[in-house]
Amino acid sequence: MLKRLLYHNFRIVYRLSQWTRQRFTPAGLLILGCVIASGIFGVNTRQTLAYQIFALTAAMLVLSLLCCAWFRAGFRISRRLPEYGTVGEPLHYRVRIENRSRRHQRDLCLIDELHADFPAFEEFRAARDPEDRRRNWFDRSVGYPRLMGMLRNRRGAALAPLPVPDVPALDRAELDVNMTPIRRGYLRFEQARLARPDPLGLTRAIQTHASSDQLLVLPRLYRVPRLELGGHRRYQRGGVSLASTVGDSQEFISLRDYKPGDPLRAIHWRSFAKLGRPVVREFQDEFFVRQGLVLDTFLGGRSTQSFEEAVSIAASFAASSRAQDSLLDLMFIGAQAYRFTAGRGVAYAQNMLEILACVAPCPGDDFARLDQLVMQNIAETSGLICVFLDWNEPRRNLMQRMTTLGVPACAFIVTADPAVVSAVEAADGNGQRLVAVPPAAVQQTMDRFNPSVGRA
Amino acid sequence: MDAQTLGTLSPLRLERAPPLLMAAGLIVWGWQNGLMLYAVPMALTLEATRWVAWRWAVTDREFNLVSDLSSVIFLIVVLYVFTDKGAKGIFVLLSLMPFVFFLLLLVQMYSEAGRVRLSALFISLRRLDPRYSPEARAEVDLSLPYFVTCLVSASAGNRYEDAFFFVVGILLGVVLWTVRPRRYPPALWIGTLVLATALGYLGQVGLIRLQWAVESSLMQVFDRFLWRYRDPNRATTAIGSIARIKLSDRIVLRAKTPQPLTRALLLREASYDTYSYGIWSNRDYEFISVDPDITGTIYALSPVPTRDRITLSTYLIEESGVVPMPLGATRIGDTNATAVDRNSHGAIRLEARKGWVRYTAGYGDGPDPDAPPEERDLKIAVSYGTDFQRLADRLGLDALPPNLAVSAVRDFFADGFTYSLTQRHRYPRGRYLTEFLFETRSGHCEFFATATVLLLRAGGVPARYVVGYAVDEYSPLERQYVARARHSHSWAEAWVNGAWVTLDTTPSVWAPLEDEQASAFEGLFDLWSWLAFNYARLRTSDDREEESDYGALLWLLIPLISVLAWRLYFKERVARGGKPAAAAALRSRQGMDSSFFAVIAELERRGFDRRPGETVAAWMDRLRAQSGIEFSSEPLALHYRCRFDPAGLSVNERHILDAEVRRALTEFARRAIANSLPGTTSG
Repeated sequence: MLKRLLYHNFRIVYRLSQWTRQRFTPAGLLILGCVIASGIFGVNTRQTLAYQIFALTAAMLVLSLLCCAWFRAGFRISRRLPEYGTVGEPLHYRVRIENRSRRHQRDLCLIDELHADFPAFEEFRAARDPEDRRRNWFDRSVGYPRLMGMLRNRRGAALAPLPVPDVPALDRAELDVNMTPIRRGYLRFEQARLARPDPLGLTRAIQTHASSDQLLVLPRLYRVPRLELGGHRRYQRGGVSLASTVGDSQEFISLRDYKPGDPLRAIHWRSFAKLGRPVVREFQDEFFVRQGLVLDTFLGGRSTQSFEEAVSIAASFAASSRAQDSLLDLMFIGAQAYRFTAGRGVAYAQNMLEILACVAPCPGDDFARLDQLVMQNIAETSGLICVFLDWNEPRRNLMQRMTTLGVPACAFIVTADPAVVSAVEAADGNGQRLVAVPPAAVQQTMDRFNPSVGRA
Repeated sequence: MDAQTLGTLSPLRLERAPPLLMAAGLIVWGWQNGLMLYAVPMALTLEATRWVAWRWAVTDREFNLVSDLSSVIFLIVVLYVFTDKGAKGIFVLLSLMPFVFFLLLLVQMYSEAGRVRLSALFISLRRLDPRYSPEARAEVDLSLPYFVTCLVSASAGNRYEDAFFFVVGILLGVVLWTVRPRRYPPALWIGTLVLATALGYLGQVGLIRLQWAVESSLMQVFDRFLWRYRDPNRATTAIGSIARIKLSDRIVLRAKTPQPLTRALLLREASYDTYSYGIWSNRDYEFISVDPDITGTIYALSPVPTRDRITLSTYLIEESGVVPMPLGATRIGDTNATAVDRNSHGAIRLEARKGWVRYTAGYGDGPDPDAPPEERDLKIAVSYGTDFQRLADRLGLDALPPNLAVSAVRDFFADGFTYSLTQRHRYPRGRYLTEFLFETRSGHCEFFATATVLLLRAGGVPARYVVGYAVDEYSPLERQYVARARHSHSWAEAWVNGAWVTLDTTPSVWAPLEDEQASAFEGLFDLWSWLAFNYARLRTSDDREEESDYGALLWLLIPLISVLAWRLYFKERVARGGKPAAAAALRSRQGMDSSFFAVIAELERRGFDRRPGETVAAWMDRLRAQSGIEFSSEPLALHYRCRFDPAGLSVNERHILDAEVRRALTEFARRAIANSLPGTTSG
């Protein structure tokens, strides 16, 4: 009950805060602070003269707000966004503002906005924020900073109001906007606001322009070592054609009689004509390395930060794989079981990063589905890189089966739980390469990781 | 069309204060708070950064330390100020804010960074990861916030009221000029600022008036619906309140005396020794328990023999409270209180069940055994000292022995001062008493009592301010005296020849003027109050009063209430029938402008007391018989006609009455009656 009441109050406070930040210039915020402080101390007009400051500053603000009641000049706003962004890497985009009015426009301000749905009460209640452990007891208990963190994360980046260069009448201006994405996935721009100050420079009249765009932000990438899993090349049904074009292998071996089921395009028409019976071409079977990259998406109450780091680790391996030598199968469970293949011309690491940018965690802990997906494809897999969120029985069993089947595997367990870290370190070395990766020290762990030994 | 492109722009943020602005803020603060000695060097130190080139390489950690040190200084100041000043300390604290944050600003101004991280100001931000919480690495320039802090702190000084508004307006104008949008011509900016200033000026006048109106309304509501609580250590006066003071008709005290009162009876609740801007206060004087006698029913307060006794009933809103006592109280008895305490300033506190408490107070002719005067009883706040000292010198009080100084002060207030419940003008808070003494010469009892105390102190006579009630209204319904909220009164006590002497300088017409405020429904309220009072006593089984029969009384109420309801209904019908309500009000005030009141006032000033309920004619007869003062019957007859004849007086008769009054006053002066007669202490 109290939580719900707080939630509704937070919603009001957030909207008020947004309105204030957009409507007031920095000087306006200073005057607003002055109004509040002098209002508090000026309640008794006999006690202090703060009521005079209150009356004066309040009159300034009211007059300023009245001056901002209308803003009719015509503008058109468009963005030029880069193709991708990366979490934690600053990016720039350009905004073009066309002035369709016959007035030279000065002192305008651009308030570009990333869309974020306000979290529902259930989401707010269930949310866990890794930053909470850094917060004080009050902030943790009340939860407003956590709610703001959720909103910030949903928005994906912070955009401050920016001054716009002068825009002559019927002309246009452009400005660069900097931002640093804080999450992967699509960032949605829905509208941009153009603000004009009042004569005193305290408040802004705002004009809202619908301007939808989206920008895909790829996962954060780490420097990861090259993994030599030491697996054998495996027969690949369909051969290298699978990897380059649609069709069979191009390595011709011989001709043979047609057997039901052979594809029509394999028929060697000249021999058919000469012999009077169907003859087909036979091609060389293909053997090459095909590695699996298994991403554990089962959050199961674990930290979202661990999940994000797991995605980043998977993305880092995907980006660093030698696409010309081998195939890489990304396997994870989302709304269904997914397996994406990249390498040897089938697809590129960039495509895999796009997929990883949009991977969402699964709420439960149904690891058996991922296990099943891996086992379905194990015959073609030369080696396996697993990125797990825990080290428990189902995950141990998977790794054990890999050992039994002779498929070299390496597992990175992203966890901040010291007990899990101890368990991982204890299990490491028994024919398996296991690495515990604390979410706060991914790069350090990767830098220390020795691929030949397996220990970090 | 060529697109104009600006490079990557930094977000809009608060810039540094323009040159000399911080200094101006500090000077205004020093000017208002009398701290110019500190403000000037502080201002010079801050502004010197414009010319001094060297800077410190202050790290984030060092900023954190300076910020923490400022917080510790702030906490120490808070603790000290609130311990020393109590709740009033908030305004002292406000006036000290520029001191508290000066160090932090100084470090910022002389640092290479020139700005302070928000995380230095808020400890909660320091531990956050800047990757996820961008506010943790945000920076701010504190110069403009510090300037605004100086302005708000300056307001705590509460001096130079008229100039302050415009000084603040000019300084804020300078700030706004530096951030003004260039898209508008300067004339438009100036016009908008002037309009805002004009609106602000009107707004601040409106705020003052709003406070008057709200206070006045709230005072009436509280007074009507809530019981009063007398704080023995603090009394807030209405000095400085604007408009008409209106107190309720609620009966707050009942007094039963063996004989009818011959003059208004003063009942004291508490006395105070320190005055500051409308508030009288004491140090937290300790209450000491008074031991009962061997029977456990009598609490002796003084060794002086008891001459008379009075049975009082008052309402306690808590389980202990200060109660009114007659002057020269010697004992308390016949009470349902479980304990009696007293403090050194004469306040008596009873501990009893909440609600009506009854006690019998004995009193005699001796002085109250209050503590002798201390240095505080001679102290005058600096803001009033000059005016009162000037007046005391003019009256020559220093040269007079205390008893003559008291007489001189009484005479001073008896000459040309009038009683008024209305304060029409607003002054800076320290000037109300000065205006009362030298300009308006009109006020209510709190003005008179406060000015009397301070004037006596200026003349070297220790004095205290006393609050209580003046009882002189007899209720035929209750067959006892009653005091209403509007009968609360204040007067002075002076230390003369080793004893505290009561000195009430409020003109004696205050009571009739207060009675004018009586509500048209006063009778109904009184009846209700009496029923509630008796019901409360019935519940507490307080049946010591033998003449009462409460059971029968309750049954009698039914027809009584019926009759009253019928009468009220009838009265309403008559009013609706065409007699305007204003006519009744006019009738009650008819003849109040009679010049004969000057004769009455002069006689009272000369010490000829008029008994409660005594008509003017009977009073004149008594004076003729006792003091040999001859009065012509003609002016009195004209006065009666003026007061009660619906036709009133003709113009000619008015002239005759005025001439007779002037003649009588001249005659009084000639016979110098006052020299041979004692003064009065009744109010």
